Amino acid sequence: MYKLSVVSGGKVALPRVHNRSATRKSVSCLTKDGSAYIVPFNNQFKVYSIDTRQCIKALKFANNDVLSSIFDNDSVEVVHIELVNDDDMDKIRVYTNTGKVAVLKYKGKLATEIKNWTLDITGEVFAVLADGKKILTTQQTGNSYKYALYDLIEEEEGKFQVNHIETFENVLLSTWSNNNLHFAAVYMNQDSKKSVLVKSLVDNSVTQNFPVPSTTSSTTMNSHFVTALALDNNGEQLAIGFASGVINVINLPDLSHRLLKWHVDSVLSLGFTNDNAYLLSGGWEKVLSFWQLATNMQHFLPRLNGIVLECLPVSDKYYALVLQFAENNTSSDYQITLLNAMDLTSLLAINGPFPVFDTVTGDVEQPISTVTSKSSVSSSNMLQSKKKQKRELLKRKRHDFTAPMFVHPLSKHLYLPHVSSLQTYDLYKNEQVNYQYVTSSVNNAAGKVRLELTIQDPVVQDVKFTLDGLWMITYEVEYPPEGLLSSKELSHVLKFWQLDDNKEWQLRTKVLNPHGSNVPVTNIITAPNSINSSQGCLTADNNGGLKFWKFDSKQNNWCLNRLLLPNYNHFSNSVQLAWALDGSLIFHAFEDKLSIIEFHEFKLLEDENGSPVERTLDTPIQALTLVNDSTLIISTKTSLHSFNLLTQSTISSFDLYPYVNAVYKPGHFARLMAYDANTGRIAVAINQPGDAVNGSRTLQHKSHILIFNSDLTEKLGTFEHNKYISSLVWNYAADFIFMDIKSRLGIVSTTASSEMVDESNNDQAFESLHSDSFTEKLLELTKKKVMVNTEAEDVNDEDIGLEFINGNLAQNKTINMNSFTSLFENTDNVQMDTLFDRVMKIIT
Amino acid sequence: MASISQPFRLSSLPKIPSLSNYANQTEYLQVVDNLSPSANKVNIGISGSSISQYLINPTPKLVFNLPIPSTNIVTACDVDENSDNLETWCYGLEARKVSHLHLATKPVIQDATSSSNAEISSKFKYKLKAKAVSIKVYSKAEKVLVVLQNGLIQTFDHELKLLNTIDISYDNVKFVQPFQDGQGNDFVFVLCQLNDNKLCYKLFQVGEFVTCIELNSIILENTTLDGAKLCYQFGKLYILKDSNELSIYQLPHLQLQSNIQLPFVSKGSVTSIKPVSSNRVLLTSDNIIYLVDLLYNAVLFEKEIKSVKAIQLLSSAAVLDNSDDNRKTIALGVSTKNGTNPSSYLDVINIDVGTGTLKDAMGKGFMVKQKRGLQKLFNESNEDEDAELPSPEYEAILKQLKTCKKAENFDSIFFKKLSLSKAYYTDNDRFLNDNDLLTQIIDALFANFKDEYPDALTYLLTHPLFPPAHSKGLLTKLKNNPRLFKQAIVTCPNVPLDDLLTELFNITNVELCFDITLRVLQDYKKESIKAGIRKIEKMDITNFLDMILSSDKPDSDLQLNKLQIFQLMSLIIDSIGLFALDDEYLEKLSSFVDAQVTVVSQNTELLHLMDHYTRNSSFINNKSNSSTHSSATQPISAYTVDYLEC
Repeated sequence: MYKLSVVSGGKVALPRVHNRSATRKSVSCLTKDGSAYIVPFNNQFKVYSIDTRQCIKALKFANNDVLSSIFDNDSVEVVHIELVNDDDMDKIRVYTNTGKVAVLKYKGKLATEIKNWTLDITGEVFAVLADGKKILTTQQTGNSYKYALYDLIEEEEGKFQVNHIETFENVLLSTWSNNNLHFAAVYMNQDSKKSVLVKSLVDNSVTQNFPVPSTTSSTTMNSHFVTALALDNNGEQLAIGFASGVINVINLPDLSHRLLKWHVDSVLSLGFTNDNAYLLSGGWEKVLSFWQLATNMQHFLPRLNGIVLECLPVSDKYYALVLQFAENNTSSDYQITLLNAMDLTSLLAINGPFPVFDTVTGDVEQPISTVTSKSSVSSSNMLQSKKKQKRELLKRKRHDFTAPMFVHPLSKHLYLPHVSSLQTYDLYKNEQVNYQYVTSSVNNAAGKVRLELTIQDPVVQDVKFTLDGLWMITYEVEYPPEGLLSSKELSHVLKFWQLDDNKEWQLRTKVLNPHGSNVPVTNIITAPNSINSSQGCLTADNNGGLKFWKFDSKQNNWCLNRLLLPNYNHFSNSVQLAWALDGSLIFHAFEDKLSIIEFHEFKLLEDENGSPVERTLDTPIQALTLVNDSTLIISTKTSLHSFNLLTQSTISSFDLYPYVNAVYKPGHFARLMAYDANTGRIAVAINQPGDAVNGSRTLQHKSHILIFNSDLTEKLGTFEHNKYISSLVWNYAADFIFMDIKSRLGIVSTTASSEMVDESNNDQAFESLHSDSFTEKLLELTKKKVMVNTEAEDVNDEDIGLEFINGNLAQNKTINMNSFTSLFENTDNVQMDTLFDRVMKIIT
Repeated sequence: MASISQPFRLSSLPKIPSLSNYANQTEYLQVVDNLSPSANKVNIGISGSSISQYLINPTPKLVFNLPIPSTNIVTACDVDENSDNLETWCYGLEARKVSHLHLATKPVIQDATSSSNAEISSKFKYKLKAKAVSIKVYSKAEKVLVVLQNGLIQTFDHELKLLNTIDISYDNVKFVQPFQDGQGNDFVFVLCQLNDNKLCYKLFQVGEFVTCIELNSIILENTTLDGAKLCYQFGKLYILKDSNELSIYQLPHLQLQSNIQLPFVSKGSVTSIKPVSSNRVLLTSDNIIYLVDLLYNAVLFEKEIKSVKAIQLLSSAAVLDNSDDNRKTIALGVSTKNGTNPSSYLDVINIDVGTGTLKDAMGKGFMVKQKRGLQKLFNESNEDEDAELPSPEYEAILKQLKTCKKAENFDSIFFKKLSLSKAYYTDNDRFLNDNDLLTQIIDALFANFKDEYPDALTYLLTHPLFPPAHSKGLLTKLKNNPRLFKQAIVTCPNVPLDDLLTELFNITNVELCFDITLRVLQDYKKESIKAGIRKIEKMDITNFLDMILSSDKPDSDLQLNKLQIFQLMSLIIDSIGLFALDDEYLEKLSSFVDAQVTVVSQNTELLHLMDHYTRNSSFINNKSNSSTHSSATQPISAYTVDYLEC
C-alpha cells in the first residue's frame, strides 16, 4: 500500500571539496546559448533557467538505471561537465572521479539508454582540462597530493585512449585558468620549500618554476600558509592568497609582485575575470571583493549568504560563487550563487535543504581560518582535526545524527532550523522557499572573522505551528560569551510569529526565559482544534513544569494562561507531551513516568481515591503520541508499544532495545516517529550501523522505515534505505517525508487514495469531532436541490410535452431530466437489480 | 462525571396486557418527541386508555387527560404550542385496521394548579388511507405533517383539511424522523423496508408551507429493520440489531460509519436505545441502563434497577452544546414488573451525560483487543544484536508455579523456564513485559509462601514493571525480611507514597531511613509529598527527627546530614507547620541547624584560606616561569587588536 521513493532535496555536489589541494572545488556548466545552468547534486543534476530563475529539469540518479549504477556510491563525484558539440546541442558529457563518462540529454526526456564508458585510468580523476584533451588524476600521499597528467585522445566515437604524460609530486595547492589552458600548483620541493609551478597545457611546456615569494618579515605560520590560488587566462598573472589575509599578485613574465591587503581573516577564494582585468577574492567576511588590477581600485559586494569558498567567472556575463553556511558545523552547507557580472544582481541561488544534525557528520569540511573554532580550522591543526574527528566518530558504535524538521500544516513546506535562522524548503518544487533569520546574531549582517568565530550564535531548537497554520512558535537558546562567570547561564527565548500577507513570519510576542532563568524548554506541543481554535501551545521544562500559552484576541498577544509548577526533585530532558483531540487531557511523560493532566483545571488527573493516575515504565520515555484519541503510542528505550487508554491495557509491543538504547539523546527518537492524524498510522525510522568491512567499522549506515496501523497490531510496510535517516515527519496529507544524512528528501506515500480506505474503518480519526460537517453537508444538499428546482421551473413548458410522451400517469408523476438525479447520487456498491428497481420506481 | 440516577415514577400504566408486553409495549406508548433537558411536561399517548399530559416537577402529576376508546391504538402523537398559549394535539388512532387522524386544541397548562381550567376548544377528525406512522405539528405554519405507513406524506392544516400529498413510492414505512438543522430549517427522513432485505432511505426538506422536497434517496443492500431498534441524533442514525449489534450511519448520505459489537449486552435481552448527547446514547438491556459513548466505545455508566424485570426507553432529551455546566438531561422509560399479574410504570430517569471527552471514557472501553508479547521489529534480520527473544510458554509455567510449594522448585521453574540468567532484572529480560503475567506470578508466589520467600521475589522486586497492585502494602508484607524490605525500597517501582512515609516515620534504621528518603524524593513530586504527609492520620515525626538529630553524634554508623534529608525535612515541616512541633524539638532542631551552619561557615573559611594560599602560590609560580605560560589561560581582555601580518 505504501511505497518509498527518494525524490528531492540533496546537496550541491562539490567534487573537489574534500581535496585540500584543490582551489577550484565546484563543477557546473553553462549551456552554449547561456540560457541554462547545470549543477550536479549528490542525487541528481539540476538544470536551471537563468531567465526564469527556476529549475526547469532535474535528472535524478534514482530514476535511471544507468545513472544509479554509475553513482552507486557516495564517493562517486562528478568532476567535469562539458557540452557535446553536435547538431542538437542538447547533450552534456559527464566525467566522474571513478573514470566513468556518460552522455546525457539535458533537454526533453531523458533516454533510458544512456551512452557511457569507462576510461582506462588508474587513480582518482581530478579534473578534465584543455577542452577535454587532458586528464588530471590525484592521489593523497601523506599531507600532500600526487598529481598525474594524461592525454585523452578520442580514437573513434566513444573510444578513448589515455596516455600518461607526467607526474607532479607533493602538490599542496593547484589551480588552472578559466580557459583550462594553463595550470599552476604550489608544491613542496626537495628542500621542503614551497615552490610554484606554472605550466601551459597547450604545448606541455613548463613555463615557470619559482619559490613562493615571501610576503612579509613575519614568522607566523599564517603568513606563509597558502590558502588560495588563481591563474589568469594568458598564464601571465598568478594570485596567491595567504591564511593571514594577504593576497600576492605575481606578474609571471618578470616575477614582480604586489600585495593586496583587505581581508582580515584567511583568503578562501581567488579568481581572475576572463579579460584578466579584475581579481575576485572572498573569505570569511561574506564579502566579494573586486580588485581592478590596472588601478588597484577596489569594489565590494557585501552581505552574501555565506563565506565565499569560490568566486569564478562562468562566462563573460556571469560570476559563480560557492558559499558555505559555516555556522552549521555539523554538516557542510553549500550554496551556488550565480551573479550577473554587469550589475552584480543575484540570478540564481542553488542549494538543497540544510539540516543541522545532532552530531558532526563524517564529511564536514571546515574552511581555514586564523583560529580554530567549531566552524573553522586553523592552518596549524588542519591536518589533525579532521582525522581526530573521524576517529572519534568511528570509536562510537552508535550515532545520533538526527535533525529537527517540521512541516507547516497548510503550505506543507519543510522548516529546518539552521542554527540561528530558519530554512523553508518546498519538497514538491524541490526548492528553498525562504531563509529567514529568526534570532539576533552576529551572522545576520556580516560574516564573522578571527576571534569572532568563537562567539556562539543563538540556536533555534524547536519550531512548532498551530494547526490553523497562522502562527509559528520557535524556541531558541542564547549563549553568553565564553570565559565569563556567567558563561553557563543560557537564556531561553520563546517567540511567537504570525504569517503576514507576504508569507513572511513576523515576530509578535517574545518571551524571555519562559520557565524562569536558566530553565530550558524541553518540549512544545500545539493545541488541538478544540482549544482556542488551535491557537495555543504547551511548553514543558526539565523539572515537571508545564505552561499553557494562548493567543488572546483581546490583548492581541500571546499570553500565559495556565501553569503547573515544576515539582520534581530531579531534572530530566526526557520530556514528552501528547494532547487529546478534545483537549480534555494532556499526557506528560517525565523520565519513565507518565502522568495525565486535566486541561480545564490544569492539575493531575486523580482516581476515586484521590491518588494521581500515573504509570511507570521500564525506561525513560523517548516518544509519545496519542493516536485516534484512544491509543497512546509510547516508545521507551526498550520497546515501542501501544497502550489503549479505554481498556487500560497494552495491545502490542515491539523490541526497540537493539536500535534505540544508548543511541539517541533524550527525546531525539521522537524525530524519527511520525503519526498520520488522518488515518492513525504510525511511521518509525530505525537506523542501524552498516555492515563492517574487513572487520572494521565504517561510518556507513542503513535504515528502515516501518509503517504500522493505529495500535501497532499490523505492520503495513517495511522499507529499506541505504543512508542514515535523520528525521521523519507527516505532511498533513497521506504521506510521510523523511530526510537522510545526505540532505536527501524521500517520501513514503500511499498508492491507495484515502477514499479507498474502508468506509467503516474504526481506525479513522474522529471526523465527527468536527460537528459542523453534518450541517455543512446538509446545506450543500439543500442548495443543490434548490438549484435543480429553479432550473426545473425554467423547463416547465417541456414538462407538459414530456407528460404527453409519458402518458398521463396515475400518480401525477412526470419524468424529466431531474427525475434521475437522485439515482446517481449514491451508486456505490449498488447491485444491478437494485439499480433497475430504482429506475422502475421512478418511471412507474 | 457521567452518571444515571435511580429512576422515579411518573405514573403507573393501566393494566392492559399489551402494555406490559416487552415486545411491543413501546409501540403502544407514543411519547411526543419534544423532550428537552429542562422539560417539565411529558405528553404521551397510551393505547386503549388516553392521551395524557404529565408534569414532572415539583411532583409527578397528571394534568390533562383525553380519553380514547379501549380498542384504539395510538400510532403516532404530537403536541405543539403556538404563540397564543394554545396547544395543538394531533394523534393517529387505529381500530380494526381503520385509521383516523385527530386534532384537538387546548390552552397551555403552565403549572399543576392551573390544570383545572384546561378544556378542549376544538376538535377535528380525518379518515386516513393507512396507519399514521409519524405526526409532526408545525404550529408556526399551522400545518400538520403526517407520514402514513403506505408511503404517503400528507400535509394538513389545523382543521385537518388535506393540503398536499406526496408519494414516496415505497410502502412499509418503518421509521420516520423529523429534525432541524442548526439554522432552524426543518427536515424529515423516512426508512422503508423493501423486499429482499433492502432498505430505502429518503431525505426531505420541509418547506415553508410544510411541503416536502426530496433531497436524497438511497437504497441499502442487505439491511433489514425487523426487530431492530432505531434512533437518530445530530446527523447520525443508530440501528441496534440482534440486541447487541449496533450500526452507526452518517446522514445526509447514510454512509455506514461503524459497526460496533456491544459485548455487555446479551443476545435476546430486551433492549432499547435513545440518544442523550453527541455520540452518547442510553441503552437498556433487561433491567440495566447503560450510558454508552460510541465514539470511544466506552460504557460511561451503568445502572441496574433491581425492582423491575425490564426497562425500556420511550424518549430522551439530548444535550446540545455539551459542556461542563450543560450536561444534565432526562429520559422517559417504561419499566415492567414481572409476576402473575405484570404491571408497568412510566419512569423518569435523570442523567448526567458527562462531557464526551477522553477524560470521561478513559479506562471504560469495552472493545477488548488481543494482547501480544514483545515482538521483534524485523522478522528476518541476522543482526547479532537483534537476537531472538525467548518466548516461553507462559500458561504452562504459570500452572507449574501455582502448584509449587517449595522455594527451590519455584526458583528453578521461574528462572529456567523463563530463561532468566541473572538474579536481578537486566535488559535481556525485556520480553517479560506483560503486566498481567507478572501479577499472576506474584499472586502465585504470595499464595504459596508466607514468610520464607523464594529468590524469584528478589528478581521480581528489581523488575521495572512490578505491578502497582502488588506494590501496595508490599512493605508491610516484607517487614520481617530485611533484605527483601530494602530491595523493595530501593528498586521496586510504584510503591505508594503512603506506605513509604509510614515506614519512614516508624523506622529506626538510619540506612533504611536514608534509602526511603531518596526513594520518596526520586519518585514523587514535592506537592504530592506534602499532600501525602498531610493525609497520614496518626503521624509522629518525632522518631524521624530523633534519628536525624542523633545521627550527628560521631558514633552513628551513617551521617544523616545530607542534602536529601534536609530537602525532605523541609517538606515535612512545610506540610505540618513548624509550630506543630514541641518546644523541645524546636530547640533541638534549631541547635542542630546551628551546628550544621557552624560547620558550613567553618568549611567556607577553610576553603577561602586554601584558595587564597593556592592562588598566591600559583601566582608566584606563574611569575617564576612565565615564559612557558600559554596564551590560552590568559584572561580575556575586553577587546583585542589584531594586526595584519605583512
